[in-house]
Amino acid sequence: MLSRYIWLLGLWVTPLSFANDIAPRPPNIAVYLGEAQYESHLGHLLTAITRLKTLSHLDPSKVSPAHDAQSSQITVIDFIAADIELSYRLPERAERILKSSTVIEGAPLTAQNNLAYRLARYYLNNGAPKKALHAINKITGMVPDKIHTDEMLLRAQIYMANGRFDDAVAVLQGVQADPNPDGFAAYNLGIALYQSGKTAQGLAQIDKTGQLTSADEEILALKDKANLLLGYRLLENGQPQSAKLYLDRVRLSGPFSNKALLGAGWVNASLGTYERALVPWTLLMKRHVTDENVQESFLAVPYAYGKLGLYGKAIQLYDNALQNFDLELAMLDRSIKNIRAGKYIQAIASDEFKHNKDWLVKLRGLPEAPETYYLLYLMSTSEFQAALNNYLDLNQLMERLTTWRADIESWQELVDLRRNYYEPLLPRIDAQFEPLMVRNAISQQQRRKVDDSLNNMLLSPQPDLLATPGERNLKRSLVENLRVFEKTHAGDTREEARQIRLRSKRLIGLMQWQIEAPYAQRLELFKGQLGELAKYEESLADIYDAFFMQRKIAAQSYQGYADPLSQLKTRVQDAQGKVTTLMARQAHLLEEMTIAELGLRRKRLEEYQLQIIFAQAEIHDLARKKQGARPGKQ
Amino acid sequence: MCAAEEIAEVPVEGLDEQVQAIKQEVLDISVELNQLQEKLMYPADTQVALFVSLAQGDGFRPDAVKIKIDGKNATSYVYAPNELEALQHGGVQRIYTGNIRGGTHSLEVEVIGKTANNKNSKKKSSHKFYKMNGPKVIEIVLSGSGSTIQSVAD
Repeated sequence: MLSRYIWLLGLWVTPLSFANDIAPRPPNIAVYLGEAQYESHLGHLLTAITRLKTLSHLDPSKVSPAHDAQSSQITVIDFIAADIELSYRLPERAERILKSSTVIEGAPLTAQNNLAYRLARYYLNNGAPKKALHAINKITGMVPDKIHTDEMLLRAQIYMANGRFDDAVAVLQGVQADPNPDGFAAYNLGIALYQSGKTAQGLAQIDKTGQLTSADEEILALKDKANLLLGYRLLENGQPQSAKLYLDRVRLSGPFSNKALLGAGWVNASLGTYERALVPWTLLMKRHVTDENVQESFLAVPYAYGKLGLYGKAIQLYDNALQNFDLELAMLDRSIKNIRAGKYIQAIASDEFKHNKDWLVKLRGLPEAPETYYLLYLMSTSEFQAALNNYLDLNQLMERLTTWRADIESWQELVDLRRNYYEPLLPRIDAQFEPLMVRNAISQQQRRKVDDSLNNMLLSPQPDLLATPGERNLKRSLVENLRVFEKTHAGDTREEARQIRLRSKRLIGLMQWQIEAPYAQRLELFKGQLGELAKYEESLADIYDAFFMQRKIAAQSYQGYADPLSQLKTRVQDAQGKVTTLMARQAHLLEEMTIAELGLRRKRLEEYQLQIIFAQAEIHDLARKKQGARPGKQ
Repeated sequence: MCAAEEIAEVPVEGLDEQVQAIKQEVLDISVELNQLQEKLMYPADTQVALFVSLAQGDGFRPDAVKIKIDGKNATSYVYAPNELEALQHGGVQRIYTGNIRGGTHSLEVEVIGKTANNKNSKKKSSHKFYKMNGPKVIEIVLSGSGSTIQSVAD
């Protein structure tokens, strides 16, 4: 049962080993953990965390049998909650667990290592490499083979992000020793070697990555990236012929194809073969105009025609480029205006987009949304993703708070309704029930007396207690008669008096015999009658308990809620205020990031326009000179 | 300072921390609301909560489930693919929370789905349970042969 929720601790944990290591939990804990797992799987992280927090909040001893409320012992729930909270971008609990020296007894090292790995990755993705380094250093002991490479790759990335390239090289060389080395490890090793000053080794390693064979799209993209990097480096170092080899390796379709086509054109231009340069550039010019490489090709193609002496064609293409750039600038201005008007945030927060992984693509379809092709790079950055996730989380919090406020108001109404119904009713019911309560109390008292008598009779027989009323009266009157006679005839020694005394004593003795002889049968009968009485008393007690329970339920249905509800409503309202402010700030941040990116692209287009004007002037000069040099020209 | 200036001057890192802080605050409210709601709507003396899980290693894939308590419809549910996946990964679904009196009750579970060898399955199982004073928690474990129940808390 327990093993089914262990997956929450991530891929690193082998369920069986974890389940065996930790003492069995009560089954209800497994059900609640399973519930958190279910909600987490559906992406309902807030609900999942709430369930876990409710569980540990209600009864800490349920979480760990050895839990001491005064200690800071970490529980299994803590591990699972930390894992889900990391998915909800809340690292605090994971940090606390890793800092704690009182981690739950029996928690396997793999669970702690998994948490350290997840936390390190979280920080690296959120632009906090120092914290990531601190977290990854918490991994100790053996790491399972199947995830060993992931941990090494992450560790190397973290070293690189912290500028520790030699350490990264050492780690990545270890990964490369693996019989099935990872493509990313090969590429990163090349970069780390290069950055650590081992230029030749680094380039050779990147070259190896550029020659990987794989059907995996990610590896193919990595291969393109390696070849592009080498090609451009050689081009910048004045080795166009060598650069060509690498740029030709890049696929014609793929995330790096546009830049490769642009580079391939510059290779030929560097070699003075402008006709050849026109082939990749013309191909590139037909692609999407918002790509910065495509925009550069709008300048490169007429430049090549100019070099080939086809001035008319060059001027015409420069004019086309100016027109295209004018349109793009107008679009960028429109995008910036719409962002400032809040339409960008509106679109991001709409239900249609926020749960859709392809929201960026769909956003393009909106008439007033910014041109998202310009934003591809920005939107892939960790800063933008963090800001966007924060905004979406805040938006979700606001929705929850709004719902809760309405819920609280309806509960307040419900409590009022219950109070209005029960308050006048309960005193009347209590008044009717009071005699029954008194009778019940008396009956219980009497019962206790009878029980005491029975107990005494079992210890020492008391036949008089079981005599019939007739027997008791008769015996009492015989004794009384004898007493009166003795009083009135004190000292009378006559035979008649002696006979009366003798007869009276014989009658009393006979009476006592009648009472004592059937004592055993009478005691059994008495016990049987007590049993019958007990049944009656039980049913009376049931009626009494049922009434008491209903009375309690009725009272509890409206008593004690007014203050907590009112306090919660105030807290919800306060939280709404805070979320509103934070949403405005987060929206502002997203807008400014986006506007800054669009502004950069705008500035580049304006620079291109300026370059075109100078290039056109130069072409006109060249054309004039060429025309002036023609024979026969006056 | 105007509002716009106030917004612009907040450093990004500080903003991130503030978002984390408000998330924690809202989670705390959520926990208290949850507890209060349970107390208000489903007092411990009458509360019954039904959970659904899948039998491990059975390969049964439920499409829908219908549950009756004491012959009356309590709830019914049709599973979406991601919900089925969550159950297959060991998740447990809280399918019903309600109120009943103390004593013996009947529980009828009708489940429609596909068995491990992809055959259609429709099974109805009847169970009994006893409600005491505390909240009653019942786990219904679905499998190709119907359902079993496990009383996990009273």
